[in-house]
Order: sequence, then structure tokens, then C-alpha cells
Amino acid sequence: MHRLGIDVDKGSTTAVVMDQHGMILALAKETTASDSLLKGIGAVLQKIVTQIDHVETTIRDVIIGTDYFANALLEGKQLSKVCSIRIGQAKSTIPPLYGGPMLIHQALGLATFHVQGGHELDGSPTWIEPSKQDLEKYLRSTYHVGFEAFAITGAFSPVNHSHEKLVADWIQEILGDDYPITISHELGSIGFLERENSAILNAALSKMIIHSLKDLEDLMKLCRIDANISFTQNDGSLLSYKSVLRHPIRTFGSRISNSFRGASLLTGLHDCVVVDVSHSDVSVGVIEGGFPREKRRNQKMAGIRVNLQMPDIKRLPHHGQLIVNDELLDTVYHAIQRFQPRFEPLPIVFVGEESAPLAAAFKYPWADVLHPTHYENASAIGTCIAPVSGSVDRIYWLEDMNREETIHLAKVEAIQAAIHAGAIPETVFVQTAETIPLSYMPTKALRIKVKAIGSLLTRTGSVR
Amino acid sequence: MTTSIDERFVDSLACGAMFLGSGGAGDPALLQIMAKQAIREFGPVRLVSPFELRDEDWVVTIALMGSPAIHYEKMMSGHEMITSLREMEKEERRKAQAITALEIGGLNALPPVLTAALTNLPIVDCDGMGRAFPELQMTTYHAFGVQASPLVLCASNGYSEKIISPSNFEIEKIGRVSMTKMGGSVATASFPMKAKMLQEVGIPHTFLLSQRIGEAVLHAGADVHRVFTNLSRELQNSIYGRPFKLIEGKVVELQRYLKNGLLRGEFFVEGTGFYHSEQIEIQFQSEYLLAKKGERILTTVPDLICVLDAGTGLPVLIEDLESHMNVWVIVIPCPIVLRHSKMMDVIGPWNFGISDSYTPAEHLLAEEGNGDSHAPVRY
Repeated sequence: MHRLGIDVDKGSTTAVVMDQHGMILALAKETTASDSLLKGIGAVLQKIVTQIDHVETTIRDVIIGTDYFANALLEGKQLSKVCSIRIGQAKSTIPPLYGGPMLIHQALGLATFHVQGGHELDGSPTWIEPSKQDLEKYLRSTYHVGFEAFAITGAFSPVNHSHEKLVADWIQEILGDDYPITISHELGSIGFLERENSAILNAALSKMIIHSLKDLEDLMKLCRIDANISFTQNDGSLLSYKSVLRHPIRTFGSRISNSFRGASLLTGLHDCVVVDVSHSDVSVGVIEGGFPREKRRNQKMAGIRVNLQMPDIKRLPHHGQLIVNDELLDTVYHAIQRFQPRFEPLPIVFVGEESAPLAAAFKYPWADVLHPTHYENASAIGTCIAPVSGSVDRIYWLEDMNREETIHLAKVEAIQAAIHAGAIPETVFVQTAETIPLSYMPTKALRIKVKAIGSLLTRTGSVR
Repeated sequence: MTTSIDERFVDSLACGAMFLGSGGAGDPALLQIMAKQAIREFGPVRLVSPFELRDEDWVVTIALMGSPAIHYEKMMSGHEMITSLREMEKEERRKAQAITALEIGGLNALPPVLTAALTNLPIVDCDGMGRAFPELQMTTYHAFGVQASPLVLCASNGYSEKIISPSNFEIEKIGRVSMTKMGGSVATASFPMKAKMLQEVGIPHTFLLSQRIGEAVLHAGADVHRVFTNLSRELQNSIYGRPFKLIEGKVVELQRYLKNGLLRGEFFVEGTGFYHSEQIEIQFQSEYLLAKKGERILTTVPDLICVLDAGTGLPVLIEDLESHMNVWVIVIPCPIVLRHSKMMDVIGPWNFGISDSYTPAEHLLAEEGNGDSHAPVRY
């Protein structure tokens, strides 16, 4: 019963096989091909299967950690042509992806259509229901444009997503099932434009993810590995095959989270500051309770505001030329201080392929500085041990239930989401629960964020 | 002298307004984009001094009311603001010659600009708060005798409501309930008055000031030291005073909770660098209200407390505060008119349940610092 973790960096692809006790059984590294996710993976798999006999028959889970899709987005490569559908009352004059780079605008060929409808803060529908006729007319009249994917964003869909669902169903009725549809409420909470942007960028990746996953499955078959394929997402937890197909955007930022979680595993520390040194950047962040701390505001992707979870990282680019001098040490020191808590500074862990010179030179008087063995494989190891998570970030209306009951309900929903994503029920626990009130109005609305974590249910038995 | 508000002016104005928001009143980003689009389409907006108007000219204030979080979700078209103005004109049976602001702090600096661009009316360069406050009667307009009535509320579905009452407190109370029923974010028109009156009750030239500080800050290139220097330069010759730096350090023990339906809370800033081993407590309710060192009060509302992100020098809204953030806390002395006894009746610290008395920030800090280098005496 083994797990295979594959970390695909821009520079190298690393694979690691671990048993159920977290022992490393095999390890391989190859350079990543700039134009293909699979070439590097194929090469490391070749190496792995030669290291242990019949390893392919014992691997039950293959987990891939990569920013490959996110990078494709940044480069405007292989993106789908997206039509964004807004459901709301007033027609806003602000276009989607406002302020985003021309490259992405051109790659997406984005069009927007406004549908009357949406909901209010309490989840009640607005007085005008969405019109199927209008939508059909629009879709028929733009058929020649050749949209490849749709992104649907409705006002207050994090409270009530019925109109988003309705419009998605209509698109399928009108155009058939061949069009990937991203529904915004599955990706983020309140904040219309940011949620819409996330949905559009996700839709843009839909063509590419379908092809990549198919190729990946073929490759696994070729290597005679019969296993569940999953990916890691931006907090370092697992993203199932089905989920990554729906939400490829969630892999954005996953690599650095894997590296941080790997650092945590290698040192046995659940709380520590991590410095990851790669071929291009020094990234500093913090692990809290075994997970990277989340960034809360001004999350941006390719200069576009989004409301996706992503780790809070201080990134110091070194453009491939890492020179360890006093200036760099000073910058790294200040970046670390930003994450240190008020009392009792946390130990500092250096990981990443290029971390050796920096870790050797770095002095920190107030806490331990660690540079664990396998530091160069931290992200592959982090990928291999990724847990399953379930999160909820919604606005609840405190009408029939009081505050405590509502928070409890949100926790149950998060736990169920984790189980649904493949966690063993007995291992699931609530990692964080947070409530965020709204300002300037007396209201029954309360935003609740909960995250539940569990371990992956590994299939037993040898053959599917 | 008439100034014209172009797209660049809007960027500076929005930036400056964030400082005057004192942590509350929302991020103007959406309205900033909308105002710029309207200006691109219909041309620049005229900004006139209150003293340039004829006595008989009739002016209406335009503002948004509600929760910024809902404003970011609900998406307005701009027509809500025009409708509220037109409904006001219908009710009062006269045409507005100009529009003005209720609140210069936060996102409410922008609705008058957007409305003016869409209606081709000029904006009168003044407002009723000189910063951000949570309620309608917390304005110089109210304190010096102008009636808020009729208050016109308009939602993005076109539905509008009029509230008429001789009491501005009633208007605020009923208005807030109606606003909540109408979805939690509405455009409003209120405080209709003649220019002669506005000249006496308005806090003059806050648009120009906000634009000036915004421009100075944008020139500082995301460097908090330069932001503070530039801000000081612009503010020391204004109706506000020169800003003081209270501390630089890290946000810790951040608490946010709902009390009587309002967002309240507190946090500490633990000093770093020059301020090592010092700490300051900040309390907030919709805006930052009070800064204390131990039991000693350093400053209270209506003086403006701003929390700046040490990485960018830009103000941090209460809803965006995070533990472990590196910040500077600065105080901007409020315009003298906010310290008038009639204003104190509505915005004195006791109205927010934090202190029984008010001492201007510069006096408190002079006592505190006793000539200390980072709390300069200002006489």
C-alpha cells in the first residue's frame, strides 16, 4: 500500500514513493520539459520502477503537485475561449478581469452577458427571475464566436446558488453537455468581481486540464500503475481527480504549500517558519498547525484580483543567481520576522534544492535553525503526504438557528466535504473555524469559514 | 476657481479618501473604476468651491449607505444615484444646481463624482464629516441645523423609498432599517440645502485636500517613510493638523465581534525597531476610535487614527486587518470644526461609549511625549 508523490517544478520533476508509515522507499529526479507536464513525469516513473521490483503493483495513490496549469495561465498558453455570464440586478459597467494583462484578455477572447436575477443577502431571489429566452437568444446569436467554456457568477451566490445552477442547466439544455461550466460559488465567497475573475480563470483552464488528465492516465497505464490520481491544492491538501477536473485553478500555489508541509513533516514541527529556496525565488512563510498560513487580502493572480485561498508568502526573487551576502541574509531575516509570533519565536526550517548555502550562512539568535536531510525533496514529500480537506466559506442567515448552532452546522458541512473528498471519517477534525461579521448594518448575516482535515482513504485490495 | 476632476484626479481622490476613512467606510475601488469610466465617456466633472455658488443655488448630498461587503457583491450601475437625486428633486419640486458629499472618508468620496459625471452637474468642494462616521446625524450639516429630510434611498433594482421626518435622528434610525430591508447597500440623497447654507455648515475643500494627499501618497511609491513625510507636508497646511506617528510594529491579539449589530473589536500593536518593547491598544467600531498605551489614552475619535501597511504605506481597513501584519499607526488631528461643542454632541467619544471626555490628539500626545522625538509638540 504505497503512495507516489510527484512534484513538478519549472526546473525539475521529483518523485517519491512512501509506505503507509511515511518511510521513503524510492526517490528519483529529472529535469522538467518546458513544454510538457508529462515528459518529466514519464522519466521519473521510469527511474522509480527500476528501483524497486513490482513497485507499480503496490502504488495505490498517485499525487501530483504542480503549478503547471497556473503557469500556463500566466503565459496565456492553451487557454479556452470563455464566456462570462453575470446574474445580477443592476448591469455593472465594470468589465471582468479589470486591470488584467492584455495577454490574458487576448488569450481568453472574453465576452460577457448579463442576466437579470441573483439573490439578496438573506438568500431570497430578486424580483426579476432569470430569463431563459434572453440567454438562449444570446447563445444562438454568438454561436459562431466559438466559446469553449462558461463562467457563471450570480450576486450573493455564496448565500444561495440556485440562479447560478439554473443558468448552468439552461446552457447545457441549449448547447449540450460538451461545454465545461464553472459556477462561481464553488470557488469563493463574497466579493462579486473577485469571484467572477476566479471563475473565468478556472474556465480558461478547462480544455487544458481535460487533455492533461487524459494523457496522465494513459501514461499511468503505460507504466502499469493502477492507482487513484489526485493533485494538491493551494493549502497543500488533496484535490481529487474529479475536483481538479472541475477546479484546475485550485492547484495555483500548491507547490510552495507542498514544500512547506514537507518541511513540517521532515522536522516533525507543526508550527514553524519555513524558508524555501528554489531556482528562482526565496519564499518565506509560516506553518501553523501543520498548514501554511492563508493570505487574506489582495490575493492576485496574473495581476487580477481573485478570491481564492492561497498561502501567505513573502517572495524574494533572485533570478537564478543566488548570492549569499549580508544584504540577502538581512532581507531573509526581515521576511522571517514578519511571520514570527509575539512571544517565543518559532524554529526556522530551510528547504528547497538551492537552500544549502543560505541555510549554512544564516544565523538566528532566538530560535533553532534547521536544515533537515531530504531538504531538496521537501515538496515531493509534502505532495506524497497531502491530507484531505473540506472547507466552507459562506454567509449564513441567523434566522431559525442561533449563532452556535449555525457554526456547528458549518463545521458539519466542512467535515462532510472532507469525507466527500475521500477522507476516512474517523480521521476528520475541524482545523479552523472563524466568523466574520459585516460592518455598518445590523444584520443576521454572518460569514463563517471552516476547514476540516482528514487522512486519505486508501483503497485496499490489489486489483481494481 | 473651478477645478476639473479627470481620471487621474479620481485615482488620487480615492487614495486620499482611504486615509480620511480612518479604517472604515469601505474601499472605493469599484466606484473609482465606475467614476473613471463615466468621466471617460462624458467628460471631466467641475469641482467648485462652496463660495463660488450663488446664494440661491440648491445643492443635494449624494452618498451610499450600507455595508461595504454587500456593496462589493451587489454591483451598482450608477443609475441608483441618479434616481435618488431625481426623486429628491421631485419631492422638493426644484432642480439641483450642484451636488456635494456627505462623507469624504472611504468609498463615499466617490458617489458625488460618479453622479456628477452622469448628470453633468458640478460638485461643491465640501462635505459634512471631514472623515468617516457611521451615522447621518454625525455631520456638520446636522450639528449646525440642516435637516436631512427627505432622505431618498434607492436600491439597484430601481426601488426607492422616501423618509420624511423633522428629526435627523429619526431619519437615521428609520433609514438604516429601510436600507437593510432594501438589500444592505443603497444610494441616498439627503440634506438638500441652499448654497448659502452649505457655505456655513460644510467643511470646505475636503475634495481638493483628499486629492492632494492622495497624489502625494501615490508619488511616495509604496514606501511608508516617504508616504508619511508627504502626508505630513500636505496636512500641516490644511484644516487638519500635521499627523503624528504613534508606533510601528506588528498587529497582535486582533479581536472582532458584533455588538448590538455593529462591528466592534480591538487589537494591539507591538512595537518594533525604535518602538521596541512599547505597545499600543487600538479599539474600533466601524472606524478606529481610540488608541491607548496602558491605561493612558493617546487619542480618540474624532481625531483620525490610521493604520498603514508598513509594506506599502497604504491604509488598512478594519475588515482587512490581520494578525502579524506590520503596520504604522498614525494620528491625523481632525478639522477644528469637528471639535465644536455642537459637533461634540454627536461625535464626541462618549457617543461611541469609549471615553467621557475629549482632549485633542496633539495635546494628549504633547503630554505623553513631553517633547520626545517621535511625538512632536505642536504649538
